[in-house]
Amino acid sequence: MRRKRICVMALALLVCLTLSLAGCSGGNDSDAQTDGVSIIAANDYDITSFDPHKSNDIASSTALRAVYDTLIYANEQLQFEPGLAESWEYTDDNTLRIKIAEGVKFHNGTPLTTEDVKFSIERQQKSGFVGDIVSSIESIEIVDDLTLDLKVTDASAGVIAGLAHAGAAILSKEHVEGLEAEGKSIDDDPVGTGPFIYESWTVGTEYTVKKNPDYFDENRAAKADRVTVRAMPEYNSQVVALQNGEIDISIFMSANNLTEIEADPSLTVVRYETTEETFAAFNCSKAPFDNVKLRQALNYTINRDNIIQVYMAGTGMPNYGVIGPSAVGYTGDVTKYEYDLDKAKALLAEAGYPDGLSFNLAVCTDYYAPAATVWQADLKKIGVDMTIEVMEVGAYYDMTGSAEHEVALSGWYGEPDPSTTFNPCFNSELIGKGGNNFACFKSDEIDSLLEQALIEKDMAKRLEFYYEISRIATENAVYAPMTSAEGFIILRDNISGVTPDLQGIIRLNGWTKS
Amino acid sequence: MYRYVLKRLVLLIPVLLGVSFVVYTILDFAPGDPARLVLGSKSSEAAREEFREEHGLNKPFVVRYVSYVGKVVQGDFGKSYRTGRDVSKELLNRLPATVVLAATGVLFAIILSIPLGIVSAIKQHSAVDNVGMFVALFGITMPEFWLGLMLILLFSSFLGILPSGGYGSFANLILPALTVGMPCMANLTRVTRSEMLGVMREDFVRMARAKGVAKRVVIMKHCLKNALIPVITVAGLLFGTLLGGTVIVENVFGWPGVGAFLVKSITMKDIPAVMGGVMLLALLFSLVNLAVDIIYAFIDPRIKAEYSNRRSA
Repeated sequence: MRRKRICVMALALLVCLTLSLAGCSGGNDSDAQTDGVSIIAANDYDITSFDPHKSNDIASSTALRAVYDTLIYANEQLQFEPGLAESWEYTDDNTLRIKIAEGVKFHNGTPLTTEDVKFSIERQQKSGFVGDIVSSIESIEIVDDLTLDLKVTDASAGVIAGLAHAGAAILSKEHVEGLEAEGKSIDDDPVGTGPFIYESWTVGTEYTVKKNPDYFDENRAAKADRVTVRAMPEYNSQVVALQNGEIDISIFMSANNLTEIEADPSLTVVRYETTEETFAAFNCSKAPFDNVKLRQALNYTINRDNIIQVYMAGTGMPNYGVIGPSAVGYTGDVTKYEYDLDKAKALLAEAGYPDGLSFNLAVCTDYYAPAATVWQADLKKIGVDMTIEVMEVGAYYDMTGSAEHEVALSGWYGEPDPSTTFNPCFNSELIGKGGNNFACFKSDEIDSLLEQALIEKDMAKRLEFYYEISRIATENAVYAPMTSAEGFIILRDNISGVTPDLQGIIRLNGWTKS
Repeated sequence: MYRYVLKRLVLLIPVLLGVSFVVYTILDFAPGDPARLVLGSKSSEAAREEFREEHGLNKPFVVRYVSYVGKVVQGDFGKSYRTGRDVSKELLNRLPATVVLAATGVLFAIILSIPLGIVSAIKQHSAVDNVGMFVALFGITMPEFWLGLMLILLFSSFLGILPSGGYGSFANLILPALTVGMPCMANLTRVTRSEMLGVMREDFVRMARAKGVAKRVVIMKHCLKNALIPVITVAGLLFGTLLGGTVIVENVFGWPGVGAFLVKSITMKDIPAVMGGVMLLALLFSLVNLAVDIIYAFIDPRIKAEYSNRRSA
């Protein structure tokens, strides 16, 4: 009898425990929904940090741009406008003089001064994630409360782009030092000058920001009163949540779900071109792919239409260049290798492989595997036997990083400043280092173009250098370019004002709900 | 009894040490450079080198392992490479969600499976038995991501009575718990049924019936108690598995548990985070097993006697 009671009690205890845990976890289901427009969006993963120096990913930059401002603002077209800096100019070759806007206040009420700017940039330079972006700034001299001089090693346009990056967000010196003295981190209480004020963040789940009523720039002030961004890794679940009205926006949707979404009249799809390109890179530093004829031959075997169908569910676009169409520095004016198996076969014989050859394709995760499979089938038709080796990210970059691969398939994304986009992939000093110089192609011409582009101040001229690099790379067929992805944002029909920038990064300030 | 528990707790130390060594070794020898994975593909070599220096990745394996264990002994699990926050904080943030989900799932499974298993056994080959076994087979074979999506379609899309995901309230818990609980329920039903069938054919059961004990009493007292030991063992194992193995369900329902965090940490080669997570799960798994062993003693006097004998021995 006693034992029976113990069993019952144990069971009851388990029930209580479960319910109480469920209950206490319900604590954050706060009644934050006060008056005003409240918008809930879903993203496929959570942000890393509210500390601009502890992350460098797209989800986090959306959150950072909501809470903080940068000195220079990159608009949706990635053109530079005044942010916290009212104006900037080079007073000499090594000095960038910046005047910050007057009367800007942090969310905690303290005014913005040049001390905060100096503190933020110096703190950023110590960051492994975003320190490189401002590494050309040697020192910072405060002239007065609103003016400061940045001493730079070279007066390239890259400095301006660096200051517009989300990682160059301006923090409050007093606040951050206070937090750090207490042993806390910025994530405990993020304070910026941005259009939104931080409200809450449940790690792994969601964060909420509310409108900053005193924002200094009315053009970029927040329209919604409160925005929540929720992490929902499963796209199917996002679609159901959209249809039920549990969420208003899906920031990043998979192409596989589009048919279903387009059939639903209550949902709108915003499509945009991305900076992404998927390509196979030949390892030009070793045989057999040091042979340009062979590389060109294989370039003619890329069936982009099939790849688009199989790999991208019919979305996206064919690409012949070295980076996605919306990337700064992209050009479509390159040597184009259209799918043509006869040409491929002829070139293959010319290259010295009349009976075909066999090689190994390293594929970065199973994400890219469908594209590899399509290519494999086409290669087989001309007697080329390609083995697909799907690798985990770490192993893949270990391989390309030591230039041990034969051919490697993955993707690359553009950055606001083209030097960050092109340099890692084409600088010959980086062959076998870091793993991004996938083609391991050594060209003095490209090296000198990269060098010139880095120090050129005129953006139009800089771009010309990058276009030339694309031309040389395609002429030599160092990549087999395949496709570029489209991005999809899904809105419920009462939502507007959601536009991604060319980087695919979303800003929260324009969102409205009717 | 208490001495037995204490002994088991002490035995946890070598177990955890072993686990930590194996996992650390595998992580270390697996390909991938944490500096590159964490800082991103566009980070410079200088930044990566600094990262390696800062986290001691340039030191030899043995030095790193020993210093890691040394810190853990002092209660310091280090900081996650990826988020820069304390690993213990990251895990404790997510642990309640995981425990709630696993506990509710197993609870749901136990409550449904034991009666279902008993009835199936008593009415073997009847319609009830067939239906029960069909449900069990269904539950075991359905992949979780599919089951989860179907439940979402039914309860949130079609009926509109439960949220499709999220975390916070009891309503959010129901669908994920059903999804993880379903295979457990199926498993436990089958175990209960087969154990019951075995016990029901024993001589002492026939004896009890022969001397006139009511059928209900024989089943609940003589049969069920004897059949329960394997059921509890399996339930304990399932609970332990659920603590670490609900990644898919976490993703489908946006449930902020330990599983998805661990998987992400593994792909980023975030060594402190993976180590902390695996050690925590190993500890929980061992504790659950210990709890199961203790429950045995309450159900089976023979086992309790055995525990006590060990004390005198």
